[in-house]
Amino acid sequence: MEGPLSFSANCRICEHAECVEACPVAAMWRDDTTGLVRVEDKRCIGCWMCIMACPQGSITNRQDRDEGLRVADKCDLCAGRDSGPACVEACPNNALLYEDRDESAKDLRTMKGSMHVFIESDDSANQD
Amino acid sequence: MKSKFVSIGYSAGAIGMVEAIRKVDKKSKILALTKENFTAYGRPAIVDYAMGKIDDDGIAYKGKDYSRMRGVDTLLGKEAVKINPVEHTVKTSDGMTIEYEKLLLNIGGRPISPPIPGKELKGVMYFFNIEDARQMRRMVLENGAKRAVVIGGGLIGLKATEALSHLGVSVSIVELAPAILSRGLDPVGSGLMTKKLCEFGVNIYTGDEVVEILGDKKVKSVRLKSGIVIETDMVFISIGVYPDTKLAEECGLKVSKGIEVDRNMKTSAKDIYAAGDAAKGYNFVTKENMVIAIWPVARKMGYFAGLSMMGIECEYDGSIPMNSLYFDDLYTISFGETNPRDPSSYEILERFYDSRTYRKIFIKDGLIAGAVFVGDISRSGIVKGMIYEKIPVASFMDKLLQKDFSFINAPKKYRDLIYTNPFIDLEAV
Repeated sequence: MEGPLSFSANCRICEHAECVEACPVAAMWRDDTTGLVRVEDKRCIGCWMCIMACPQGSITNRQDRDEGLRVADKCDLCAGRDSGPACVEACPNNALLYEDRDESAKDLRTMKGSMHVFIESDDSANQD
Repeated sequence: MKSKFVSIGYSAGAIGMVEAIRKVDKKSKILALTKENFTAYGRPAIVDYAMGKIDDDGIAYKGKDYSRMRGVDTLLGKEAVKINPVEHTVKTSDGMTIEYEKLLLNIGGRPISPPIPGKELKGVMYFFNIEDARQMRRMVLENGAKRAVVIGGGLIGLKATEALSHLGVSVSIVELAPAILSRGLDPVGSGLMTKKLCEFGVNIYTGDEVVEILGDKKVKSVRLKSGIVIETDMVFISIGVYPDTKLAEECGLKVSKGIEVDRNMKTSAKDIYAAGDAAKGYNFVTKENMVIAIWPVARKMGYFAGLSMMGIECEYDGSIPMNSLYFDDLYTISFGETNPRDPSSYEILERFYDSRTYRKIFIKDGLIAGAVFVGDISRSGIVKGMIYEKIPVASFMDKLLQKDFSFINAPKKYRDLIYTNPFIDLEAV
């Protein structure tokens, strides 16, 4: 396709999220149940290690000196918004979709360098 | 005492190990012992802790809850003094014996203590762990210390300065090299940081060194080689850190300026692994093993150690030096080569966007070898990612210095590589 291209939901919520790995206080954290990687504002110390780590440049710094706010910020798929991600709702051409998919993990491409290597877990060990 | 997995040290390396193990194995016992009297915490956050911006809960990794959440038994304030690799045991200073099946050495480093006369005086400190941060606060808030000399203008010196300055202390930095932060930043970045520090009233003495710390029981002043005498209440020694390999050496592990590990984090002894600031991990740019003493690298090494400890052979692909250095609102991010000895063998792209926003990128053989971002650090990670994935830059080199350079300027093939990595629901894994 030629012409302008728009990116949305640019955080890919990587399986091995380098931002989570880089965060020294676990403010950037993956929720074990939803799998979503989010920043916990209250914990974030604004050290920008996540910005350094993210290979997509998906993390920005949100700050307000007067409010003493200085935290990392990223797409969280509009968590808590009843009608889902705002970008999907706003897109007039339905170019953006928000859906649950059962991605077959075995098709994952192995990325050298960033540790995006899929590891199969032992399901029997997880059943308590 | 007995545990399947044991870590000596409970920091980024141990956390990486725990994350890897608990992804697969929710049941086996994991034990972490640390000589510090505090659970796993974000060491880089001691600056925020010293400033009083965060408390014990804020500095603890995942808020003190982490060990319970991941089912890690901890022994705090316990120092390991002997490892027996044959019997698979660790002895602690108080005579306890711990049996392990797999052992991680996440021992870390120790601050270098230079032979400066007077360093035993009260008020001479380091800025290395949470206890040091507490001591800094006590000295300022309880003992009324108002002046500090920071010996060494590297990363730790900068962090100590930031905390002190925030606490209202007047700081003087003494740096042997001609400029501060000369290892992490390029001369331009270092110059901008120097300017920022001066705005905050920090005095910087470069090309000079402290030859004597003077005082009577308590620090009163320091004398520099140039003859200058600076009166002070505190001295922070931050000239560097060395890998703490004593324990590893004593039990016969192969050590050479760091614990030697292979690409699976195995040391020279069976069932002993190492990660973090004491271990020599692979640097994929220089293609040699070296200590890269930063949190993300330690955690990544720990992760691979954890996999390896479970028998999952997954080769560590390596890391490169990188850092996020900042003072107040001047942010910098740098990685890879930032100060090459042979600049002529690099293609160097650099641009000032305004008086405090700057970017420099080093290219060698068509690949990015390093970069420095000052002021505007957003999207710097994209450039780091391109180093990791060895992306040829010839086709979009003219875009690298665009202020709004973003992922969209990267070749489609590269975007696809990252974008085909789908969202994974951990429950489905």
